Amino acid sequence: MLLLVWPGCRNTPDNINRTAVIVTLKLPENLMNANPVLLNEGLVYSFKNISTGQVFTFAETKAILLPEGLYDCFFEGWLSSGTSDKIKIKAYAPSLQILGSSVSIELKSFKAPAKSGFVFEELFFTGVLTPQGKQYHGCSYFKIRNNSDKLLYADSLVICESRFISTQKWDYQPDIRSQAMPVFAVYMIPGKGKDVPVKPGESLLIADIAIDHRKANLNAYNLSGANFEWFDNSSRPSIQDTDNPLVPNLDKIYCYTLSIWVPHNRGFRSYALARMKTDKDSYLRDYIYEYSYVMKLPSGVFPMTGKGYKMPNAWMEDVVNCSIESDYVWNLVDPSLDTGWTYVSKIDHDKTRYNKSVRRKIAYVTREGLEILQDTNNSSDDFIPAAQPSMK
Amino acid sequence: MLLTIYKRFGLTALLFSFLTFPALCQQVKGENHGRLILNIQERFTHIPLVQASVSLKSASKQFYSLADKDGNCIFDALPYGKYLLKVSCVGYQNYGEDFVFSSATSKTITMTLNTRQLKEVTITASETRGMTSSSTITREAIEHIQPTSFSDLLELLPGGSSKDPKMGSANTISLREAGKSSDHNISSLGVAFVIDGTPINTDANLQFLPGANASDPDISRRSVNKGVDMRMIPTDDIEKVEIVRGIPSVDYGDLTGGVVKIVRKSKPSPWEARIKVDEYSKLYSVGKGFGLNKQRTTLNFNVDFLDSKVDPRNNFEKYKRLTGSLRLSQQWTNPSWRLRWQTALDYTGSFDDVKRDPDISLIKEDFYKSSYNKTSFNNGVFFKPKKKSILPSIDLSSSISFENSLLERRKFISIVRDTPIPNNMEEGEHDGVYLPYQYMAEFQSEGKPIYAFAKLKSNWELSLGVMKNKLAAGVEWNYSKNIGRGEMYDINRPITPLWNSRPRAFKDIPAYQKLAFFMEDNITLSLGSHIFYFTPGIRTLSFPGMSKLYTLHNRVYWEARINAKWGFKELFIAGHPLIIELGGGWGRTSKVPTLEHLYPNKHYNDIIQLNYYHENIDFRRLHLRTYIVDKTNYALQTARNEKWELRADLTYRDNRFSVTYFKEALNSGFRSVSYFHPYAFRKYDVKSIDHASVKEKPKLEDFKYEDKIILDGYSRSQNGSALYKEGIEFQYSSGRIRSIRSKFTLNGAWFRTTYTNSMPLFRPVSTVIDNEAVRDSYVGLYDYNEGHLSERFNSNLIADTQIPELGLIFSTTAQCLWFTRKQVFPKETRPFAYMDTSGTLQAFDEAAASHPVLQHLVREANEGYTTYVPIGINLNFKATKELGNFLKVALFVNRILDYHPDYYSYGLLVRRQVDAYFGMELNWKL
Repeated sequence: MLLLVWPGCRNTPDNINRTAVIVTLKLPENLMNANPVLLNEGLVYSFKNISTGQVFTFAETKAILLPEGLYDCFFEGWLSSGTSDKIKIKAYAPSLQILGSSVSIELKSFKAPAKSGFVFEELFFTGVLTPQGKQYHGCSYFKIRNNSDKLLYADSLVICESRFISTQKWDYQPDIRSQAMPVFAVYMIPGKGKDVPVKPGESLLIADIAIDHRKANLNAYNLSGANFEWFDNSSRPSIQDTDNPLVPNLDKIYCYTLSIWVPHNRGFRSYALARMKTDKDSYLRDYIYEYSYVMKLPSGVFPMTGKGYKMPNAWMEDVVNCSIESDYVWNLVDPSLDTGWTYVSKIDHDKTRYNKSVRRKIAYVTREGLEILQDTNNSSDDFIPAAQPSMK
Repeated sequence: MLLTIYKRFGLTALLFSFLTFPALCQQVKGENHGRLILNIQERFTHIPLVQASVSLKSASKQFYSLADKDGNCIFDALPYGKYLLKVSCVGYQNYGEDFVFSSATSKTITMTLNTRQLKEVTITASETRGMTSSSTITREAIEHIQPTSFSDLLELLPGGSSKDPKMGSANTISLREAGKSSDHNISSLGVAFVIDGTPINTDANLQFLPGANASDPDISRRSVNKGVDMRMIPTDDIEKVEIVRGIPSVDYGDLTGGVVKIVRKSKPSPWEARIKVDEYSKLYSVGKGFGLNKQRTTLNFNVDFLDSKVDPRNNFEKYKRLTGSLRLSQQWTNPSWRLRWQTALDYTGSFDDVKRDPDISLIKEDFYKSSYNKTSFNNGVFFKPKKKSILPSIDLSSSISFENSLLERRKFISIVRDTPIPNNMEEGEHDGVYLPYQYMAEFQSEGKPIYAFAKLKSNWELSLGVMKNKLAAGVEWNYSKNIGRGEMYDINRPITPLWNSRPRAFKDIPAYQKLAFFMEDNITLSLGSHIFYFTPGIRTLSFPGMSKLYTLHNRVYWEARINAKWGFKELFIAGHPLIIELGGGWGRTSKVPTLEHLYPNKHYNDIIQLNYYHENIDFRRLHLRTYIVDKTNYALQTARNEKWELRADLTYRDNRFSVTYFKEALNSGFRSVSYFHPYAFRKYDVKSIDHASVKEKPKLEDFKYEDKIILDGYSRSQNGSALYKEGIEFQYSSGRIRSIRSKFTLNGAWFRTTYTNSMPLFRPVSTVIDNEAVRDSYVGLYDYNEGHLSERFNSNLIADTQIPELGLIFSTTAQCLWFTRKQVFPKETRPFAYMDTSGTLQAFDEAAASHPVLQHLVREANEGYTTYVPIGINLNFKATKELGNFLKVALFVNRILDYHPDYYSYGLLVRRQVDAYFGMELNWKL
């Protein structure tokens, strides 16, 4: 652990109260070498004022003076590992109250992941409207992409939806975010290990119903070419999902709802792409997440218990937080997975949110012409919000 | 005498005076006469008294006149002589003097206000001096409260408070309760409404939209199994209401809670018209009582029309009511007996109308309409011997009513996934058809309940020394039948995915009869200066014609009820008597199930065996297996309540205080309870066919299949709800304090009500594990108290001020809700047993708790919580002003002032805000 302490002072030449920020940076644990050293080059302490949007950037922790307010803090830096490779580390601390003469903050840094693997290329969860203005959600889809330069296999990749929503936070106990993500739905790409090859730069289209939806609704899309669909099997007439026999189904390992799973169409939930690293039965047995929380509402205190499953952070390939600006409260996953969040609408119940998706930006194109998507584990930066869906 | 005539026939007498006076004048023209001018004025203010009536009586002649607008009364040619001069004016003491008229003169007469003679009115409910706790609400109180419907009168009960009209939902009653619960419809179903001796029967009401979702307009408006919808009861022809909260006489049955006894006007009355306007509604009413045949015959009629909006800002949700009533009462008297015949023809129309705003919705055709038309014909013959006769008195009442109700719903349906049409009417396997992606669905439900009622009751009196007995015995018969065509819709275009339901005709449901006998003895024992009253009674209930399948068949239910009261010897304190009465009672009451409880629609369980998708719509194949389940619970019994109470009543001078402690226990309220059962079917694998080679609709044999068993649930009526009531009701009313012309009434109640279940419940979980829904294979049975305990304490302080000489009555009511508390019971998350696909129950042991799938039967739940809301006070103001003799203006403002302090609840600041509700009305009396 490294301590960087600097005394602050209150300075009001322009009648703005400023606060000295004392930053304590905690280095990641479980690094290969025992004595990492934080390098002085390339340090970025960035404070974004949530109200004004103003960003204050510092290259060192000396004399960090900020106008009073609510800030999100981002940190980037490098560690010497003892060998020739440097290790990039990051930290993120949201919603810091910077008030008074001085404030101490602690930044828990983590090893910035080396990017090579599957990522969410696009998430389309808002659905479309029918010409009569009714919601139509059978054409939701996810696109996952091999963002590396190697052939990868998508077998056992799971798509998970978060247990909680980003617009409401209770003190869920135990808080397991540093180890795992509480999930509400787990659908897995079937395969024995090498059944679903994906070439570099190629994507898999995973749809709710893999059919040409334009026959049912002119505003919807043709998803008949999807690689997989998630099918909710039921014998109940009221829960009839359409199963296109030409398109393989995802393996529905767990879902919270008896009826058809539809991704949150107002965009409150986070989505994870992970690699299932155990067999299904063991997962169902060993990865239950039981939690309790106390809902404190003006009408009373409501002690609640809940039950779901969890997806270990170590298995994660990619996580995308989604929220809306007007109601955003928290990030549902550990900052090492995603420090930001993306969105389709800025307000709740936005009637214009339909027919829009979130799409990952292109970072660069390789000499071979391969488009590499941006994946900095900060969805705020990595995604184009409210984008035109690629399948439109 | 004249005063009385004026009071009763003001207009006629007035006309009579004008017509006769000139005629009299002509007769007395001669020499010995002169002009007499009398000026009539108030004694202190010298305000001229308009229309004071003057009579001059000599030995041979009599002259009348009325004072003009200046208070002058002019006799132009009055013969000289000795007269008895009498002046009378409404509200003033009569004036009289011997007066010698010898020359033309003018004279001033001053009149003294007679406050005693002016009738003061009671504008609050008063505790009835009967054998059990009940409240009486008089015509004057009803007028002062300015109601829109009967619902508004309930604020006068102890524990009541003013509420804004809710015209977009069925207004159901609850007595002595601190909260409400949707599983406890017995609260309102168990209160009997009796209008002029005839109970309102709602047993054959089947008007509802099956499968409606929670936001459908039908959900709040339906009153099936909830009893009487008080929106439909107008108040303008009500003379008096008595609401029995305690243990009712065995005269009344088919109830668990209490009785609302409504007595309508049956007497001569002037033309009365009323217009009420408030934020929500406009109400028009007109009525008149004709006295014919020397008052032996009276004919009353009343028409009422209400046009209301659910929300004043929304023009698309409306409620209308139209009622009309014609009542005839004829009386024959004889030296030894009196016979009265009363007949009434009533119409009630109630119309709900909900549309979508065409300006903001793309779908303009959706609507919900529910109309209710009821016509009833009631007859009563009451024979009463005069005193000292050995003949019993006999009351014979009968009623027949016919309802014509139509519920209409149109809805644009848009579906996302290929969905089968639930159109198979027979059990077995069959191919299915898909619904179109968009269609307009129409639904109609036609209900035509017919109700008949007859009651014969006889009363005797028997004196045995100090013991006086008033015996009553009788028999009551009720008949219900619905002859409506029932649910009517295109089975291929269902309004909601009515998966479990198919249309049915209500006329196929058998008729339902109830037969009750009752006997009661009202014993009065005079023990010196003490009096002891004792009323034991017994009532039976049986169901003639009930099918043998039902437990109710040939069953006779007995209900015993006892009320007692001790009237103590008067104690004189400062020269005035203190009257103390102590009483109490115990009784059992029971409510019978309704037609919907006894004859539910069949449950259709359609299981999809194959749902094969092909891009070519002609090659798709849907195959189902249908099970038809009889949901009837043949073991259903009546809902039984056990009540007891203790009462005290103290009267000293004009002050009265009464207090009641009560406890009620009901364990067998009606509740819709889920049941599960295994169903076998064949699951075809859509991926087992070579999809690419499909060139025609595939055959079933082409698919591989697996025989499976699935658990499925349906709801069934059960005696599974428990409702426990406890509380204290009190009322104090002061005498009128002359100096401030005001009277104070303080009433209130503390109620503690427990809403729970009296049997373990199945609760399926929704989790899906490894492509299979847990509830398809396992359903847990949980032994827990679902529900909550509600507690509240309120008091109303009413100051009513009456200034008769100004024709002004106003009341100020401070309605104080001291606290409300709601404690939701923790739910047991772990089942004690579970059902598997064999259909049998297994114990949920440790092995089950660690089973990969069964462990999910341990539910997530809230662990129970308590909410507490502190004091809130509303100040309501109501005023009535008489303008002349014919017009009354009234206005009210509820919550004109309020006190709702902010409070902290679990660290959070709660701010409360209330809005005023106000309105006014005009009343004419001609």
